[in-house]
Amino acid sequence: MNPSTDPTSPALGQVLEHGSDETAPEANEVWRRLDSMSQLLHQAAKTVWARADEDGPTSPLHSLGLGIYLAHGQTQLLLPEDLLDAESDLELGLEVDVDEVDARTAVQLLTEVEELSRPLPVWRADLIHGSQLVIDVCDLLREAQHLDC
Amino acid sequence: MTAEPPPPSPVSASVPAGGAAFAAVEAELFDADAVPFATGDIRTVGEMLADVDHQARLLLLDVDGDHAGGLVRGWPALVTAASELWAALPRTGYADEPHDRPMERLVAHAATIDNSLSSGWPGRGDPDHRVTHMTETLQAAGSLVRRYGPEISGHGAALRQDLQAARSRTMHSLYVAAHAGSVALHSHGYDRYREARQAGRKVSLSTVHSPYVVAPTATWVGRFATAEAIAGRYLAGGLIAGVAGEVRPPADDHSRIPRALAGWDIQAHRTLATRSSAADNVIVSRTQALIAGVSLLLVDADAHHRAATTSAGDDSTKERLTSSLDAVGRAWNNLASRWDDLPAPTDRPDSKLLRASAEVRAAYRELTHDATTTFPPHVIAQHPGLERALNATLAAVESGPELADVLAEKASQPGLVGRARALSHRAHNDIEAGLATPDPTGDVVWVSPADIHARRLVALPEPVASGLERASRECVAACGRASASTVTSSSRSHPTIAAGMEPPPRTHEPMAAKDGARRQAPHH
Repeated sequence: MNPSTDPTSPALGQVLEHGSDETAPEANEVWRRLDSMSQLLHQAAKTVWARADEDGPTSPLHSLGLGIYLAHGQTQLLLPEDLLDAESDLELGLEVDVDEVDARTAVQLLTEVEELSRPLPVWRADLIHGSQLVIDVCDLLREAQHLDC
Repeated sequence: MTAEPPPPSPVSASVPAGGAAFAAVEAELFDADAVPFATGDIRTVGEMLADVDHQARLLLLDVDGDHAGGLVRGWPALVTAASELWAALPRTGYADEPHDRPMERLVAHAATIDNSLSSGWPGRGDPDHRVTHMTETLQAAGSLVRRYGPEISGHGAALRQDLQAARSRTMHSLYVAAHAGSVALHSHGYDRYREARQAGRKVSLSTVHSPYVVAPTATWVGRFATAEAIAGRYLAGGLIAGVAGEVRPPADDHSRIPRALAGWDIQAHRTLATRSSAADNVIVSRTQALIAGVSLLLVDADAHHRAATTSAGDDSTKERLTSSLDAVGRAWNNLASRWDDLPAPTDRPDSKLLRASAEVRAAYRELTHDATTTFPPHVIAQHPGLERALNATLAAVESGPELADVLAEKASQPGLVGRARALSHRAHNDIEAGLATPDPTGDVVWVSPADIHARRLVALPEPVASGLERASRECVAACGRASASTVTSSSRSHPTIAAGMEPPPRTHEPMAAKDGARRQAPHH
């Protein structure tokens, strides 16, 4: 068994709440969800920046794009470092169809990120900063809707 | 209490050149006592004390019998940290100050508790993590006061009241924490009583503190009740009266943007010096682009303000400045877009860089944004913090060339890799746009479809590598021009800068030249 998917292994044990009843597949589902959020946020930032670059340096879209990219960074930081080795098992990076997301607006992408964030167990010790991420995503979605992008 | 770490003093121009001068500067830079702590905590002492008070209240809201042991174990360290902060607060000139006595009693009392820990329950072990957080915050506040407290001058009533407020907050935190300890101990006693009853053992009820608090818990309850009483007597007039003279930062904090930009400048340099991550480079470039974009807004707002209040400024200077700021914004954005092709899906940015960038963005939004979009310039022009924000922003633009230099060095490093799909798009787009020279042999597949399909990281194709280096050079040049324009504009248009804060006009030097100059400097 790969150590990364073995619930008794220290690597995965670090990312499971001590004493929780959570199983390894449930934990992996959280990481897959976060990974999908991260990719969608990255794509949303690129979409916003592409429009901002057309509008010029004073466009309010630059601030929105940076905010979305920082949220993407927050999501990356929530993912455990040892998942780099577990990528093939968890199939991270394969959840999002890049050709399909290319055609979507930032509002659509952020809406999906917000929906993905709803079941996140933000009360867990290792996802304690997830609540800030959820709030940021809601603010960014509101801003993107207002700027119609 | 609002004592903030002051900015480092500039080296006096009268300091003689040579080894002695360098030694003096190094002593200040590397003296362990002169650097209070380096946890990235930028709160003031007043904010830390308010946090400890808040944590104590939260602790009281959420304690039960299971927490009793941890609270007892954490109490001696908490009192020690509070007493050290207390002792560090500037004195008002009297050798024996009456407000010291309650704290001295608490320290002596906590020492006896510490001595008794090993003799039975609860024993040595981990303290409650909330008490540990309070202790660490008090230690950080004490460290700040020891470092910067001696620089506080004056003996006015306002200062005395602020110091008294700091003592009252500290004592109130201990008072509430002691009460939380008592509550937890009572609960612990009741738990033990209930367990004994369930096990069929008879327990005689106590008549002292609570019917359910029996030995040995009763001893601990008595000790915490004593500590609570000592702290309570100090606060006999009430906390509100005790903190009546507390200095609080104004709700409209005009120093937030300068502070955020100073923090950003330091953190960006630190991150680029110690890490090699394309995600960091994207954040640095995009944040610099945001600074350039906001500087255009602020220059425009400043022109509105000047037109409304005094005579019009020099239009040609403003035009040169806005033109160079516009160019530097575009250059940073172009560079960021190219760096964004490189990070792997699992590339993690530096968390401190992330926070510094977020603080810059948030600070600017207070000045320039309605809830979701930017204010028009005439609205920004009415903001009292405009001038400080503009000066700090132009100073940040002036330091842009150094960051651009570092990123240019990173762009020319061999072995850069990026996401296959993004690099393929970039190579074809650059060739189509005439930004890169097409391969003379015809249409070349720059990235293999197999790599794209497998989402591999691949080496930068030649058009992408040369495009990244070209964008870096353009950014360095644009930053140099913007830096020169801001210096000229500042000296002509801003009386505050021209009068005493004007940075020396500088020409942009390549890093290699600066390094050479450093190597020639005397070093002891």
